[in-house]
Amino acid sequence: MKPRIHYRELEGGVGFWALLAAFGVLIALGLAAAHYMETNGHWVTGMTNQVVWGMPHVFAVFLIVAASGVLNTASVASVFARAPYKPLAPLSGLLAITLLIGGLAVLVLDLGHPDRLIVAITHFNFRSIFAWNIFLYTGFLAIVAVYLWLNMERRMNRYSRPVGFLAFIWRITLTTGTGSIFGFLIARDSYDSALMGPMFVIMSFSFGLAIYLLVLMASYAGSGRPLGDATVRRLKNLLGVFVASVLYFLAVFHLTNIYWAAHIDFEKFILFGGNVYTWLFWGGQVVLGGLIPLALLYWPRTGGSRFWISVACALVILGGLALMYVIIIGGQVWPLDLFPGKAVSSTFYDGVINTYTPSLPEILLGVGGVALSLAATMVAIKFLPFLPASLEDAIVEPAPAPASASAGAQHA
Amino acid sequence: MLGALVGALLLAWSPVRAAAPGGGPAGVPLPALPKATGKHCVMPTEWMRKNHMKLLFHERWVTVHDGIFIKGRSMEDCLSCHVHRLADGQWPKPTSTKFFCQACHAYAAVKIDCFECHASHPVKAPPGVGPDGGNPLESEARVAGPDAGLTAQALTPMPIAQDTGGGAK
Amino acid sequence: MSEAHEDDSLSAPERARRRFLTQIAAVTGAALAPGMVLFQVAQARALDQPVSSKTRWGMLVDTTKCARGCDICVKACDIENGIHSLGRPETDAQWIRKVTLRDLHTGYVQSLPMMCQHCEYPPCEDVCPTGASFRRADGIVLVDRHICIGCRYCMMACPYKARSFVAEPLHDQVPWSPRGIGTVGGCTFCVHRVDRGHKPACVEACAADGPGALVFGDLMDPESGISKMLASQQTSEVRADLRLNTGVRYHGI
Repeated sequence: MKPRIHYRELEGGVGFWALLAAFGVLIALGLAAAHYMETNGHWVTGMTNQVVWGMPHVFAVFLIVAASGVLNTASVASVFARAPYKPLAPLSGLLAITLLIGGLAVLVLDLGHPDRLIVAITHFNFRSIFAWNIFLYTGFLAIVAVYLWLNMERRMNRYSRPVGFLAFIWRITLTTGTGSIFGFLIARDSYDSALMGPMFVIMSFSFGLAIYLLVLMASYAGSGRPLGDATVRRLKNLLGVFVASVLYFLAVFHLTNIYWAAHIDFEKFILFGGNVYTWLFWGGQVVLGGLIPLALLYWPRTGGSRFWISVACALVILGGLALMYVIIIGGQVWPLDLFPGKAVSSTFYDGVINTYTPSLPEILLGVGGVALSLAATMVAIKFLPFLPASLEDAIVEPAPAPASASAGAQHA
Repeated sequence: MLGALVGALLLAWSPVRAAAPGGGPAGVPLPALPKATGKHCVMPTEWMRKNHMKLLFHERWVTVHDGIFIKGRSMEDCLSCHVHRLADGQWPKPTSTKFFCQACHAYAAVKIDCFECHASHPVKAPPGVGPDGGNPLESEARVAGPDAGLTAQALTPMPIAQDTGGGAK
Repeated sequence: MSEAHEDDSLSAPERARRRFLTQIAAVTGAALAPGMVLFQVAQARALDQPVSSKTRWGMLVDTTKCARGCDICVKACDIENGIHSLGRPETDAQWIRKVTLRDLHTGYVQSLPMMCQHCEYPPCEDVCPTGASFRRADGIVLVDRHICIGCRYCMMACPYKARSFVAEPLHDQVPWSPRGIGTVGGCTFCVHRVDRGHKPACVEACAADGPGALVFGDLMDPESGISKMLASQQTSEVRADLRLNTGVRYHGI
C-alpha cells in the first residue's frame, strides 16, 4: 500500500525570519527605486530614446519566463501522470504564481505611468501581443490557483488532472506570447524571428526548473525535512536536458540569422564583437549558464552532490539573466537599418551602436521583484501546507524495486 | 500608484463630504476657489461641480480621435476663465491650491495628471506659431535679424558616417 | 456651435447625446451628399465634424532640394511644439531630425528630414496595448496621451525611430501641443494646424526660410498639388520592403 503524503506548513526558525526580513528590505528598496524613477522621470535611469527597455525588463521578462517554466514539475505530474512528481506539484504551482507576480510588478512599476494600470486593464487593442499577454498572465494566475486548490483539496483531487492539462497548454501559449513580444518586431534585425516564441518556451523550462530545484533544496535543508536523493536526481537530470535544449535553440537562432545577409552584421556584433554582449553571450550564457552546469549535473563526481547541483542551478539562473540582457539590451543597442546600403548619421543616434549603462534604481527595482517573488513564496509555505513533510525516497516512490540509490538512469 | 488608489477610494465618498452643510469635517477648511471670469460656464455650476470629468473624458476622446473641437469647450477655454495670474504676476502652479482645479482636488484628495501634459495657463501664440499657422521662425528671424535665414555661413556641415553601415561612433 | 444653454429643459447628458446625434447626422449627410459636398469635406473640414478617411494627409520630401546642414524644419518643429533640449541628448525628444546618408559603395551624400512617416499600417498602432497609439481616419498617426501608459513598445516597433519618450517632468508645454512625463510623443503633422486648414510648421518654415523641399497635402484628392507631383515624378517610401504605405514620401533617394 502506498504511504500517504502529508503536507505541512513550514517550521520557521530564526533563519527563516531573518531571510524574510532581508527580502523585505530588498522589496522596500525596489519600491523606493520605482518611486524615484516615477517622480524624476526615466532620465535618471540608463534608459534612453535608443534603449527604451532596460534592466527592469531583463528581470521582469526573466521572472515571467521562469514563472511559466517552474510549472513544469506540476505538469509532469498532471499531464504525463508521473506519480513521483505528484508531491512536488503544489510548490511548483505556488512558485509559478509568485514568480509571475514578481515579474509583473517590476514591469508595471517601470511604466512611464504605473498609476494608469487601470487604463491598461480597461482599454484593449486586440491587435497588440502586449494586450493578449495581459489576458494570458491573468488567466495563468487564475488557472494555476484553481489547479492548486484542486490539488490540495483531497476531495477534489480527481479533477486536478484536466486543469493541470489546461495550465500546461496555457503556459506554453503564455511563453510563446512573451517571446513574440520580441519576435513580432518586424523592423529590427535583432528580433524579427518566429523562433523567439519556441525559444522562450524552452528557456522557461530551463530557468524555471533551476529555480524550482534551488527553492526545493533550500526549503528542505533549511527546515531539516528529509528530501530523497531520487527526487533530486530526477529533477537535476531533467534540468540537464533543458539546459542542453536552450543551447540547441540558441545555435539554430543565430545560425539562421547568419545565413541571412541582412542580419549578418548584427550577428557579427553580438557573437564576435568583443563587446559586453559578446562576453555575456559566450561567457555568461554558453559557458557559465550552459556548459558548466551541464558538466556539473552529469559528471558523476558532482552530479551526486547537492552542493554542486545547487551551484549548477545558480549558474543556470545567472546565465539566464545574462541571456536576457543580451536579447533585450543587445538587441536594442543595434541601430535600425533605415536605408539599407547607406551609412546614416544624425543628431538622434541613427546608424550608431548605442550605449546603455544600467543604473542603480533599475537594478534595485529588478532585484526587488525577485525578492517579492521569494518572500511571497516563503510566506505561503509557512502558513499553508504546500510542502510534503517528507520527500524520502521510500515515501515518494514506494517502488517494488529495492531503494532508489542504484536507479541512476531514471530520467523523467 | 498607491496614491491613485487611495484617491479613487476617496473619490467615491468625497462629494458627500463636500456637500455637507456648513463645510467639511471640523478642522478641514473648504477649498477657496479662485473666481472665474467670463459670463457663464459651459454648463451650470452645480452640474459642473459633480460632472465636469464626464465632459472632459468624453470630449477629450472625440477631440483626439475624431478631430472634433467644440467651440468654447477646449482645455484652453477652461483655463482662460478659470486660471489667472496671482498677485505677484506669476501663474499659479498646477500643483498649488491657488490653482483652480487643484483647490478642490487637494481637498477631495483626488490626483489629476492633466497638467503633466497640458499647459496650465493661457498662452498667447507668437506670430507664425500655433494653430493659426504661419512660419514659426518668423518671430525668431525678426529677433535675430536678417541673417537668421538660410545662408551658406549658417550651415554647419553635419557629420557623415564612416564606412560601416552600423559602425560605432 | 453647441451652445451650452440651448435648451435648459433637457438634462445635461441628454443634451450632450442630442448634440452628438446631430453631429453624426450631419456627417452622414455630408457623406451621402453629391460630389460638391464631398469635395468640401476633403478641403476644409468643419471643426465640429469628425475627420474622415476621404482625406489622407501626406508629405513629399524633395531630397534633391534639401540642403545638408540646414535644420530649419527641426527648429520650426521645436518652436511650434515647445520642444527644448534639456541638455541630455540621449533622452531629449526629437520629433523631426536631419539624417545624412552616404552611399556605402559610391560615396554619394544626401540629407533629408526623418520623422513619423504616418503609415497606413503603423506598427506602433499594432503593438500598443491600450490603443493609445492610433491612426486617425485622415491618416495622421497620433498618441492619445490620456491612455498612454508609457510602456514604450511603440518605440520598439517603429521602423523609423520616430518616437521620443518624455523622461522628465515638463512645465512649459504649449497649449496646442500637449506632451508630458511618462508618455511617448512624435510628429503629429502639426495636427492642430492641419485641422484648421494650415500646413505643418516644418513645411511653412522650409518654404519661407529654407529651400522649399517639403510639400504637404491631401493624397486622396487627385487635384491637390502633392497628388500631381507624386503622379509626375519618381518617389519612394523609406523601408518600402515593410509595405507600410507611408504618408511621407521621398523624391531622389
